[in-house]
Amino acid sequence: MQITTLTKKFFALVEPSLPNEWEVEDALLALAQQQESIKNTILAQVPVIWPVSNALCFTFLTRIEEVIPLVEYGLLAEWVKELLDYYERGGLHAAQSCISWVPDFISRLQGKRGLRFEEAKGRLQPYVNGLAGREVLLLPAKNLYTNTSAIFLPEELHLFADRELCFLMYKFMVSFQWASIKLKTLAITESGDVAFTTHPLEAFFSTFTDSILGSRLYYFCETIRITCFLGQELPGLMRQVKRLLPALLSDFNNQEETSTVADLLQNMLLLRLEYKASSSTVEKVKQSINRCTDNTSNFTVSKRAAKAIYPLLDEQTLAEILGTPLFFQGELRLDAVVAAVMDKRKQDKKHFIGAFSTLLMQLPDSILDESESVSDELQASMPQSADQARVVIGNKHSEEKNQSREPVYIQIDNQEVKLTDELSSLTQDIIDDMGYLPEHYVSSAAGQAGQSKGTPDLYPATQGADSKAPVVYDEWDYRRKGFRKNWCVVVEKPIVPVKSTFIADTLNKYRGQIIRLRYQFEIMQTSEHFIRRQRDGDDIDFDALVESLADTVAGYPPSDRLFIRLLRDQRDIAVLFLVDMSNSTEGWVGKSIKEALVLLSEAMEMLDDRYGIYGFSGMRRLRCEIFPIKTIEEKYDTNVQQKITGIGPREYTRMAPAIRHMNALFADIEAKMKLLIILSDGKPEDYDDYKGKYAIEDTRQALLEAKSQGVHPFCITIDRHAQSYMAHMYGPVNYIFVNNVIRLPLLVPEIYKVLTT
Amino acid sequence: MADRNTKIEEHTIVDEPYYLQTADEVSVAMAAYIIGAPLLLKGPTGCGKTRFMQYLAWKLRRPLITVSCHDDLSTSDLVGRYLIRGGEAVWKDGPLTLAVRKGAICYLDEIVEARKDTTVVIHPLADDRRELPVEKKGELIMAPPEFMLAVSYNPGYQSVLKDLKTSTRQRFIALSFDYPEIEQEIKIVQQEGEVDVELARSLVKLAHMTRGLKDSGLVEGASTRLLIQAGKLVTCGIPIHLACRVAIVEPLTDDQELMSALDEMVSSLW
Repeated sequence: MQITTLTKKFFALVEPSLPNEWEVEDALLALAQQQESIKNTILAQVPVIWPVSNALCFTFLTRIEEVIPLVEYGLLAEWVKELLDYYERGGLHAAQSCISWVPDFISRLQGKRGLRFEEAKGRLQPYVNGLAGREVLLLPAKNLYTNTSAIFLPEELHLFADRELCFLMYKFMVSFQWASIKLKTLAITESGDVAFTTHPLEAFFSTFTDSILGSRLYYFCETIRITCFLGQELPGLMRQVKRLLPALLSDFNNQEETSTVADLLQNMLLLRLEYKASSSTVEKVKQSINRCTDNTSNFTVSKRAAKAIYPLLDEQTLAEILGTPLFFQGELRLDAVVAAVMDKRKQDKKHFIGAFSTLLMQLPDSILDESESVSDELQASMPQSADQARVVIGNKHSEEKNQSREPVYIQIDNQEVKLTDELSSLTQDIIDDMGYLPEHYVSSAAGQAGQSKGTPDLYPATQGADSKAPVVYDEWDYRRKGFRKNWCVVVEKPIVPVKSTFIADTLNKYRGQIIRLRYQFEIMQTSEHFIRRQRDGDDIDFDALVESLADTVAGYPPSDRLFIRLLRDQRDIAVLFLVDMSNSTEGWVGKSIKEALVLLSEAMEMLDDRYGIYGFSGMRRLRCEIFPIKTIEEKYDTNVQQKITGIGPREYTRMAPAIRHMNALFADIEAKMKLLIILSDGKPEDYDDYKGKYAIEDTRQALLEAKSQGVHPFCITIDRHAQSYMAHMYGPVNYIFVNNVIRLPLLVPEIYKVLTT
Repeated sequence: MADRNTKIEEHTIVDEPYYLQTADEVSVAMAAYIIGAPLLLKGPTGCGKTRFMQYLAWKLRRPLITVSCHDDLSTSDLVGRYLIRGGEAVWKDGPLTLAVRKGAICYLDEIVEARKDTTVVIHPLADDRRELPVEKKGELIMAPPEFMLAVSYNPGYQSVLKDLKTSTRQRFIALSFDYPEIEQEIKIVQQEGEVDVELARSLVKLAHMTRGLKDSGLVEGASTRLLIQAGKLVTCGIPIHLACRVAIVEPLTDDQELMSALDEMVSSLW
């Protein structure tokens, strides 16, 4: 059928509409390539879709190649029904995504419903966090692999019709990857050089004639080691998996009840080897693999095993017995590991230098000068590779007692610098990763500390025309245990209201939750309880009456407080929300904070609690900016909503002056309970030397000042990982982590509720 | 009087309660007893605060009177009140007065739950005066050297409205409690839950997994007490998965996702 005939047919189908001819032709181009029968089946759906939406009909026709599998399975009519449902619920955009999910639809109708990663993530993420004792991010990807800091999982699993089995598979994949991280299958331990670009395992694999086959052999040996480990650590999981595997691996024989998955995998390999090699070779292979099952072994055992087995068999046999990679193993992505490790090292280095230079700055000058000269001298005289020899690290008092203790001192020349807890655990991290602490980290920190010392911090303040008169606050310098007088200049700047669909979108997105929140907050407002022993009231207090009678008999004047009264709780609460507007809040974090503010304000409207919202940011001590979004007297109205919309990432996080400014605002507010809730995404930090311990101590001091004037500070931190300084800065119970930023909008009102009831 | 005597004996702990010392808490508490100072026990729920008090009472051979505080607890509930018996008004000591009279140990559990005005009654008892005024009777009872006051609270994540008054806190010798080290916790679960060492180890492993979930929204992980209960259920013949479900997972959270993640941990371990 030519395109002209097709077009004619199309016009007949959509009568009496008269769409643009060129548009129709464009849409039908893809269809013109198809077989006649397919064309007819597809065109038969045009009269169904056209009256609902012309645009959808064109989209359907242009993306026909994605739809064709449905024709082959005879499911087109069914699917079109669903397509129109999607369109009616979510418009063209939703309908387009429905076209993308065609394969899903087919497997669903065939009974193989499968499971999407997004559906399983809610259960899996806390599960793996629990296993690891820290957060190991789970992310969707095309294939399964890990870069040792996150685990990437396929977006969908269709291995089984039963969704629970698919979930079990996901769980096994996650557990397996976690175990491989824990057992350091892919850990970079040999190369301490920060500038490496390839994984040391790559060099190892290249020693095999076929490096890919070598890597697969190594990974198989590691798989035996990992499954052995899992058998001990998570016996329940491995028992379930054992029943699952035969369905996926045809020669995986689980007849023997007592054997473990690791045993069965070994047997599977040996069975594949039968008749292909002499019995002595089989025996040798068996012995080599068997060594990997040792509980205490590390990955060198697998390397040795791979080295031993490889020459025993010809490459074709080896490829045959390894078969296709096991689906739960995932890929060995050495490049991803290298990238992740480099990234982490870079971060660690930056943190270390920042923290250590701040530490050094408080020491007497002599140490700095010495360390600088020492490192310079050594750098000149020693080759780069001897980097590690220059610094002696270690807990000198506990070496003989307990090796695993964290380092406490760093030696610079003959002086020992005592580390803070944070630095100590950071140093331990670096040593765990690289095997030692590179000298140039220490010398860079020493250099940085030397440079910053005594530098005057004078930058002219730039102010907008609308700003109020600036206020000056002291800053706490923990090194001198005193305040730097009149150090920070805080200026209130107006925030420009922005009109957009943000508020409407948010209200729409969370409409169900908002109704629930408003209801919950309403209950808070009308919290009632009985008070006993009242002079008048709704009911008789029997305890009081009995007591009074007894007192009378005992000769004491009886009490006249004999009633119970229902009392409505008077909530006399004033709360200020202080929102971090530093540039790190860009993207999702900022959006979630804004959504949280909208939800909170919506809920707060049900209460009589007075509340204000302020943003803060700035750069250097002479330009700390406060952005009033809603003052405590202001009503929550469109103007406030537009100001919330206008919140955006700005500069740095010098938190303490902002807190001091809030304290000053609180001083003018009369309330029985004053609450300061800070929403932040990390450490206080500014462009100048305001970082590390100095910044933490200053913030802590500002919070202590708040407490001393009767303000309860509480911080909600959006951060990937729990940081050790948090408890110190806010006090152990005055903060909460939100690692999943999506949850923030609903969590903030929830936290407010818990805090004030 | 006869009535009172029988009562105080009920509070005596005859058999040695099982308690595994984690640090120097026993010697500190013994020293506090000698110098007549009251004790403040802080720590997460189910980590062994109450058991520690029982053990201390047994070691000191003093009766232990425990009061669980709640927000309706009145001063009379602690000190005592007149009751009518056969047309006569009879004074009845409250638990605190009873403990002071008899030189027992009075333990106010979860003191932050009580209203602040109620807890003020312990102030004269908790400093060097060591006296309890019973206003209704016009009596001032001096605490004998054997009397000891102890209070506990959980400084975990809670409402800022519930905090101990500074004037109350600053009278106590404070002991911080936390969950025991792995090997010790295994021993405790094994002993108290009457389970074998393997099961105890797995239960402790589970507890550690749950305690790592603070960042994922679980306010507090599984306490040692929960582990012991789960162990006991297993000993009673409840299958391990069900036992963990009812004794650990359900009590910890109502959040569906977290619950299923915890379930997955359980099913992975057994």
